Amino acid sequence: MAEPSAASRRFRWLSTSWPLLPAIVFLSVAFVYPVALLLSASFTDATGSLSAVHYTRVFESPVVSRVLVITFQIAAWTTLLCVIAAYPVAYLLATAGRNVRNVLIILVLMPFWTSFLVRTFAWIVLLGRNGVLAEVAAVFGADAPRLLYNFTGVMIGMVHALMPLCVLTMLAVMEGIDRSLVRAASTLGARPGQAFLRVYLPLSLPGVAAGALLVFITALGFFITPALLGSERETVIVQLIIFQIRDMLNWGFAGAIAVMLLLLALVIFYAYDRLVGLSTLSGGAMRVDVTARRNPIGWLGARAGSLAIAIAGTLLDAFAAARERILPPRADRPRRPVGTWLLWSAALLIIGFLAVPAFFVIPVSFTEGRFLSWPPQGFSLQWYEAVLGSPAWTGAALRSLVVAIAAATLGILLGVPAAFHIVRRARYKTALIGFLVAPIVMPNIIIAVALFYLFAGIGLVGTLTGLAIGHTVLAVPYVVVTMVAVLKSYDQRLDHAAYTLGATPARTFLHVTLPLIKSGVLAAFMFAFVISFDELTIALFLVGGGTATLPRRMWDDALLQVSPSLAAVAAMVLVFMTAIILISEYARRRGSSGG
Amino acid sequence: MRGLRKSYGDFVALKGADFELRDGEFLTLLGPSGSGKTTLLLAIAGLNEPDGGEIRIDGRLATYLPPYRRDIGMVFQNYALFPHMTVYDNIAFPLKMRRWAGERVRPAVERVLGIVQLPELADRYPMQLSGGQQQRIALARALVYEPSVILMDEPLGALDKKMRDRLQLEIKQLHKELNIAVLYVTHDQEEALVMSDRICLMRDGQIEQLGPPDELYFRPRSVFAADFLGESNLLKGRCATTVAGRAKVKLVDGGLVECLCDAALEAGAPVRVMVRPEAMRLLREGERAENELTGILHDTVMSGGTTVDRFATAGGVILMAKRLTDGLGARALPGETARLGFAADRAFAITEG
Repeated sequence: MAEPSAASRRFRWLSTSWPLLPAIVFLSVAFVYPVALLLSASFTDATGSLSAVHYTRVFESPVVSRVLVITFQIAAWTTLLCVIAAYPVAYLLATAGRNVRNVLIILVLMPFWTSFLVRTFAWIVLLGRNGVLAEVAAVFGADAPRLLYNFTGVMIGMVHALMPLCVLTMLAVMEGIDRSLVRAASTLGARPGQAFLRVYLPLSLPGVAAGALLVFITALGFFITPALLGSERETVIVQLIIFQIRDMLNWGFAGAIAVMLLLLALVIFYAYDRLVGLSTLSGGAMRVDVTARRNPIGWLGARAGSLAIAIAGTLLDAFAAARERILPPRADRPRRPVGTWLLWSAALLIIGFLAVPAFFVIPVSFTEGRFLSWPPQGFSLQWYEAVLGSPAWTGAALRSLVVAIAAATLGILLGVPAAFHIVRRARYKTALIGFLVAPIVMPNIIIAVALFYLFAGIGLVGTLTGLAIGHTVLAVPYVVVTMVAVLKSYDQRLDHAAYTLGATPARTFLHVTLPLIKSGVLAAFMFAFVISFDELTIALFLVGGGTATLPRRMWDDALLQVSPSLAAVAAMVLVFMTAIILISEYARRRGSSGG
Repeated sequence: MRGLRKSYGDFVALKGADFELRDGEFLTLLGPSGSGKTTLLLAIAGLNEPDGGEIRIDGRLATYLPPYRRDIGMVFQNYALFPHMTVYDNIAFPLKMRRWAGERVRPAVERVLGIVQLPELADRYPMQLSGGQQQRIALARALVYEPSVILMDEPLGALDKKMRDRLQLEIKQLHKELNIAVLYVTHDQEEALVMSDRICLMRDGQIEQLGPPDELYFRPRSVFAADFLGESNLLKGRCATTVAGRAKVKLVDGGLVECLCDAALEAGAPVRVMVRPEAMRLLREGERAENELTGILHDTVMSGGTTVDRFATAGGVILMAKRLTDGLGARALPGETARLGFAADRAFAITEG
């Protein structure tokens, strides 16, 4: 037989790869194309001819460089604090028993899911001039330190917002660490400190690096917290972009800044890949063999790391030896697990920091007063009545709901088939996942600006359709990531068994596969729903006024004043989101225990 | 290693175990899963704390001493080699923790690598080694600082049968050469029989029987012990008379057989007469044996070097007779009645109760 023609080969590719097509086509049109468009706009001047004028302005402008420096500072400090605080929590979660872990992980996840805006408001309630902290300090006759509208306020808000991400990323790596390794180290003569430093810490470093990377990249593109909890001095790069577009209508300049941000992110990703390897981002093991360290950056990192560990180990050992000389370990009574107590108290404090603040918006929303204050004055439902009676608020809530359901549904329809294909068939898995996940790795502001630029030309700005498309761009990656994880653990032999028992592929999917992955699909849907329901950046550009979504309205209100009515909205959003999370968690557990 | 003694109060996993590991001895803790053998081992290593009782290492009290102060070596079931260190660094780890002078470390590591016959692997990472090699490196790491006792927790469990057989003999050989005390945990009775000086059979957190392998095999103290080590034919009966370590037993199925017994056995006690399948012979026409039984041949199973004929007695008990495979074919056909015989000194009366 002759070689198959090019046409028939293409047909065969299409017949096996069709599940990928919708997702790829969608992301090409709604993500790659607008971003490319924005890039080209940044390279053209007012007359439309090729020019680097915007870039020279970026480099010459003192404002841009100052904002860039402060953005970097905020991101770097946030990353450092997040990593330090998240490590003990992740360690506790990775080593605790199953039941304890299940409870704690919900507490860690809760703030991750509750709206960024709500959490930021909660900090205003806690740290504001008439806030909880000020009142508590007043009881002791002291002045509370100023923790709001300055760098400290931004730090508190950012660390609170991004730490759960860090914990989860570290947890993925720490769960893969064999616990008998630390036991082995102790039977080989290592004190707990040494065993941790020389065995557990090096093995958990990929998780630390991955967590730090994600936090840093996300922090670079963050603006809600700096805008609401910081002062003029804490203006970040994204605010500058928003300002350039909304107030100056300077597309090219804004595009150029966005491109700088994107380049920065890419450089950091590249350095990370050289150092530890991108595969660790998905919880994969670090490439332990030497090949990963053949480049100079990796070699230097490894050298510096092992030196630091050796020094710390020696110090710690000297300290422990001194302590043992004073208090030698007793052979005749159980050891006192001082280290365990310390770990638990530290981790529980941090988890409390994550989980508790959001709930402070609830009591203040029942105040009779006209301003936010602590303790709330009297009890009244007037703010709830005001909010629920206002068409502006109810309309916004309804629009948010519609857009979130649409985006999540579209995300599932596009993402699930793609995930199936990636797990079962695809040949370029890493590249495909990279492409499909790109929208969440890229700072949201770039997508927002790019979509605004594209939609402005075709009349989609200000429409819910436009916003739903924008949110679907974000939903697809979350659905893909969730479903790939679910499908990887699905035993495909069950499908094969169904085939041998006489079921067609369609019936196999309907009667075997779908019932088993149902809870995973539901989780992916919830994931996408919550992302869209809470999304502000894209909404900031694509809707407004009569088409504002809930986060958009909350944002507009908050810029004027954080009032009790806003607290009422925040309280309702909080309760709604918590209910959704608990319900989906319940469904997930029932699903996984039942089948 | 002078003495190790431990006993527990009312601990669920361990209901009071008490034994001593002698100098240079290879002692195996054998038992089904959940019998408490690993709990016991971890307590000795200091990796979990007993609720009561006492552990002594080299005569010194060590019950609640942290593991790093115990001077023990431990080989884990999954080897627990540090994946981010080379083989050399793995083996040097305990020496660094003991603050050995730098120039003493390299010769010591090279010496143990020589002992486990893998001197060329020093610069590899554990992931680049086969299971058998990882096992030997784990052993080298536990040997390098010459601890007074080495604990091994099912170290061969993850290997295939061939590699397991080989390493069993290698570990036994090493034990002999280095004259080091070994406490070994396994659920594999064959492994225990091959390797041990003494076997400690455990059941439900208690010691069922402690003794040399042949004692456990030929004179099990309980039906559980007889069943757990090897295969056995168990004939129900009642002791009729005992004379000088021998008993006459009246079987429930009828018939009188003579066998070995403990001195404590009294006439009238209910017993099970244990005959190992290899002691049971199919008797030829006219051939006589000290004890004889009759049964109907049920089937014949050839498994390589040995062949087992299975018979059903009149009372419905299945009896097994094992012989070397000789390629001469079946001795009898299924359904035929045959006579079986065994010598009195190859049967043992186990007290029931």
